[in-house]
This record gives sequence, C-alpha cells and structure tokens, in this order.
Amino acid sequence: MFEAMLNGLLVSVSWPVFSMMIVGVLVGTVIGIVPGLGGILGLSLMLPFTFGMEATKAFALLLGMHSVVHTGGAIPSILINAPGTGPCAATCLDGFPLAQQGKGGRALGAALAASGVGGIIGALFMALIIPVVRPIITSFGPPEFFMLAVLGISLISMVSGDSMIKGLIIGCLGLLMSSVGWDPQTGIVRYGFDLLYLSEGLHLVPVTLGLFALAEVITLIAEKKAIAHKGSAVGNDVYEGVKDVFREWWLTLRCSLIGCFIGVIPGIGGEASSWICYGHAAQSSKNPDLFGKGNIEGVIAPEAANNSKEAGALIPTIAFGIPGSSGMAILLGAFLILGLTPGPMILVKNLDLVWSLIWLLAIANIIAAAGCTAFATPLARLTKLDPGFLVPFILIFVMIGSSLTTNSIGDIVVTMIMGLFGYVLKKYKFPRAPLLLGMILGGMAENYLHLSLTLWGLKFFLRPVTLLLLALLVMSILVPIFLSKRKTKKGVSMV
Amino acid sequence: MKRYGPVYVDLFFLALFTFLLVIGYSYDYEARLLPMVITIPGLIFIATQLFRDLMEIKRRKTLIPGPNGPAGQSGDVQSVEVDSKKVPMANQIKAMLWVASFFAVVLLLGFHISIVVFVLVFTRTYSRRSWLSCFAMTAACWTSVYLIFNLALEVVLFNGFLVEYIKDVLYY
Repeated sequence: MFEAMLNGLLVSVSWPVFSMMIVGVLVGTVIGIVPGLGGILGLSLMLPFTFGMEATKAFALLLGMHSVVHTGGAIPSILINAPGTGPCAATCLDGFPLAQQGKGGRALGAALAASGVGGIIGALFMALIIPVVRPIITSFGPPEFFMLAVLGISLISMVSGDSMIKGLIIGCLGLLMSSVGWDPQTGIVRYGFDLLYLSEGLHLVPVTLGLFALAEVITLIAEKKAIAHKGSAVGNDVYEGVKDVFREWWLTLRCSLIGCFIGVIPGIGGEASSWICYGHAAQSSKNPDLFGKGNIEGVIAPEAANNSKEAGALIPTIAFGIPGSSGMAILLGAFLILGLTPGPMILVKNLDLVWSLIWLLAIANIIAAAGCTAFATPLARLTKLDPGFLVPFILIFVMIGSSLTTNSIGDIVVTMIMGLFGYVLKKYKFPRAPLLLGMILGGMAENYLHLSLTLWGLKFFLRPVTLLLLALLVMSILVPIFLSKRKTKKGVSMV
Repeated sequence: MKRYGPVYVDLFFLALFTFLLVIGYSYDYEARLLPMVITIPGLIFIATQLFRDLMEIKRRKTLIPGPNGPAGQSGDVQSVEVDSKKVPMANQIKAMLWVASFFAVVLLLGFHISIVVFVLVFTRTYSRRSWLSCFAMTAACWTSVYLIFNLALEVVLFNGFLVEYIKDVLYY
C-alpha cells in the first residue's frame, strides 16, 4: 500500500504528467470563470484529446480540469453575482454582498483557500475511505435519497434571509418549477404548455444565470454605479480571507466532509452539496443573521464542499464503476476508452494509478487555489470598474453560457424571463436562493418518494439510515429554534 | 406604484399559484401529488404575506404627514421597504429595455452580429464614450467571444432567426 502511494506520488510529479495537469488546471479554471460552461462541457471537449494517451497523463488532464472548475467558478460568483458553475450559486449569496462592501478580495481569498483545502480534504477522504466504502454506498436506496432531499429542502428557511414567509413562497415556486416536464411516474408532461423545450424540464443553468447574473446586470445599468460601493478599498485583504478559512477550520473541515459524503452517494448531484453546506453553516453559525448580507462563513462552506465532493464522486466511479455525478460519467467513459475497467479489481490491479489520481486531485487543487489567489487582488478591482465597461461582457457571457446548456433558444428565453423575475424579486426583497434549492431537490424528493412507496410502502421510514436521517432532520429544525430561544432568554436576562 | 408595489407582486404570485393549482389538479393522482402539496401551502403563505403588506400600507396611511414632511417612515416591515437605493423608475425600465433589446437582437441576428451592434450602441449611448473607445470595446468583446467559444471550445453559437432565414433563401 505504502509503495503504491509513493509510486503514485512519483508518477504525479513526473514532468509529462505534471505538465498535463497544469494544462488541465488552466483550462478548468478558465471554464469555471466563464458563467454557464461548467466541468461537463470541459470534460466532453477534453476527452477526444486523451485518445491514445497514457492513462496517468490522460487522467492528469481530465481530473486536473474537472477538479478545479468550481475554484474558477467562485470568481464570477463573488465579483459579479454570476455563478461560474451550478454549484457555485450558493457562493453568490454572501460572496457578492462582500464584494459590494469592498471586501471582494477577502471573499475571493476565502473562497479560493476553502476550495483548495476542500480539495485536499476530499483527496485524503478518498484515500481513507476507498477500502470501506462498499457498505456506505449499498446502505443508500430511494428512501435514504428521499430523506436527504427533504433534509435539504428543510434548509429553505435558513437561506430565506430576513423574511421567512417570502422565502417559503419562493421555495414553493422552486419546487413547482422542478415538476415541469416529463413525470417519470405517469409519463405525462406537467406544465409543458405544448412546448418541446418545457417537456424536458427547466434546466438549472439558465435559471441560475438569469436569476442572479442577469438581475445584477439590470441593477448595474439602472444604478450606473460600480459593484463595490464608493470609498471602499478593494482587493487588499485577499490574505485575510485565506486566514478566515483557517480561523473557521472546524466549519471548513465539516463542510468538506459533508461534500465528500454527498459526492460518494451517486444520484444526489453536485448542486445539492453546496446548498446543504450553506444551510448547515447558517444553522450552526454564531451570527446567522448576517447570512445573505456578507458573512464569510457563507463563502467558505459551499466552496469547501464544491471541491471536496469531486473527490467523493470519484470513489464510486473507481471502486464500483458507478458514476457519482454526470461529470464522473464522462470520466468513466475515459476509463473505458483507455482500456481500464473500473470496479473493485482496479484497486488490486492498478493501485498505483488510483493513488496517482488521489495525488493529482490534491495537487491540482493546491495549484488552482494558489494560482487564482495570486491574481485575486487585480480581479477584485474589477468591482470598481464603471458598469459601462462591465455590463457588455457580463451580458454577453451570461447569454452565451446559458445558450450552451442544451443549445436551444429556449435557454436564452428562460434566462431572459428569469432575469426580469430575479430583478423584481431583488427589488421587493424576496430571497432568490430558496428557488434554486427547491428546484434542485424537488424533483429528487418526488421521484425517490414514489420509488420508496412502490418498493416498501410506508415502511420505508423504518429503515435504519432513513431513521437516522429523520432524526437529523428533526434536529436541524429544533436545534436552531432552541438556540435562538436561549439567545433571546439570555438577552432578556442581560437587560 | 411604489406604495402598492409589494401588493402587486403578492397578487402576481397569488394568480400564478392559483393558475398552477388549477392546471395541476387536472393531472392523474400520482402526477398531481407534488403540485397539490406545494401550491396549497404556497397560497397560504402568499395570502399571509399579502395581509402583512396590506396592513403595513394601512398603518402608513394612518400616519398623517406633519408640517415638517411626511411621517411614518420607520419602515420596520421589510416587505414595504422597497427600493432603498431609490433608483428612479425610468432608469429601471431603461435597464430592462437594454437587456431586452440585446435579447431581441440575439434572437434576430445571432450572437456574433448582435455583440457588435449591442456593444457599439451601448458604449456610445449609455456610457457616452468616444467612438475610438466604443470600437475598441466592441472589438475586445467580439474577439474574446470568438477566441473562447469558436476557437478554443469549438462551439457553434446561435445564428439568429433572420440570419438563418436569409441563409435558407440564398441556398435554396
């Protein structure tokens, strides 16, 4: 084992492999920065280049790219409120308010460091868990997925900001939007209005880009002011953000591990991990009132989860040949193209390669985080730019990014409608995050509920992991209420 | 409009959820389960919010303006505290029109042409830059799109309905 670990490290740092990884990291970061592109497009584009390549070099390119996409994605999420990738949408909630306060550098520093640390923890987690992962994966069936989705939906209240009722209204709308399209249970199209585009359901990327980025573009044009408020120093506190990650080390570790765990379980999806971690950070924070207004914990939590979940998703892909996410499905294809069969035997026959992948994950994350941090200060100064310069770039990249989701004109129309809707929500202080949370988890909850009822009836609630998740759900609702009551009591007794 | 803005938004949600409830009710039992379970509580939440907003308006109306200006600007209820930055409505409509016009030009002429048209017009009329910087900005935008999407990613961007139509006419 130790020999394989060492061999893996030596292969990963050998020049041909390392140079491929650098190319992958560069491409991944750029793809992450452009809103709407995401790692799947990157992997699809990179895959043809790996034909005939040596396995380690090919994975250095693919994994180097895929593992750092979210690191790049944090940059537009914080600076212009345009999520670079789907899971980065949660970073917008506190990252952008920090940028508006002139603390864009600090937010970037925290996001990049959290991404790097999350990636390293993910790689460590992968190294430790591979031998014992089988019982974890097999203990998760439709009832457990359903309970996980409900646990995620319960966090709507945590991302609702000041007005719980408004958050619930928008959360309900998000859940309804998740039901648009083919219903897998009955085969009928719900809320399709005889449009082919809607029969496939609403896609997350155009909705997210419209709701956050386009709404921000409208605000910028209307206000005729730079993103960062006047008089605020910008970009000088990048290393303060990096320090924040280590100050909040317990939160970083927790969210990284949650991200890994969600990544390990196939079928939950990357978006869920960042939102669940954001909600968890808000629940466990000493200052929950500051969430959504520029709390650095709200940047650290989703970013740590984003990168660590990629390592988690790699585990079932390698160990069982079950892709943990859509990106991993493409990576699984790469394994087969390169003549490797993922499954338990790969851990026996190609242990050196598995260790190389673990090392590559860790090193790619360190390089991406360090590289982006070096440019964070000039990047943060973008928030001081005149909207006349910024708006055309943001608008064009947002529209093109969203149009590439399904290469359909429907994506642009949805982005436009959601942009106007997002602006109205922003203007009347309706929180926008619950809509995404509802949209991500609604469909999942419904599908797995139907499956669970069909397979087990109401007895599915009695499965051990389901009961454990139910207990977690009850705790996640009751503990914040108990804590806030205790806080109020303390406040009253102080007076 | 400003005072009743939140009420209009609540009414919009009320109409939307009612519409979705009516449509959802027409589906089979299994298919309508989620729409029913979501829209009914949703309608209750909207009604509660509408009630709160109406009460807030009523509360504000009862505060008679004094000799030193209008009273009752406490704004302790979040929902009615709209537009804290006080952006004129005309600017907001203009901003929406800018975005909508880009969207319309993209639909008609596709990305490549609309980028040139929009950036040139936007930087000239909105930002009031010199022609030289307008052209430089347009070139920068178009080149970055071309380099990233066409050359690096080899993605085919939407051509626009008018351009496609003209192509069809010319070819056939």
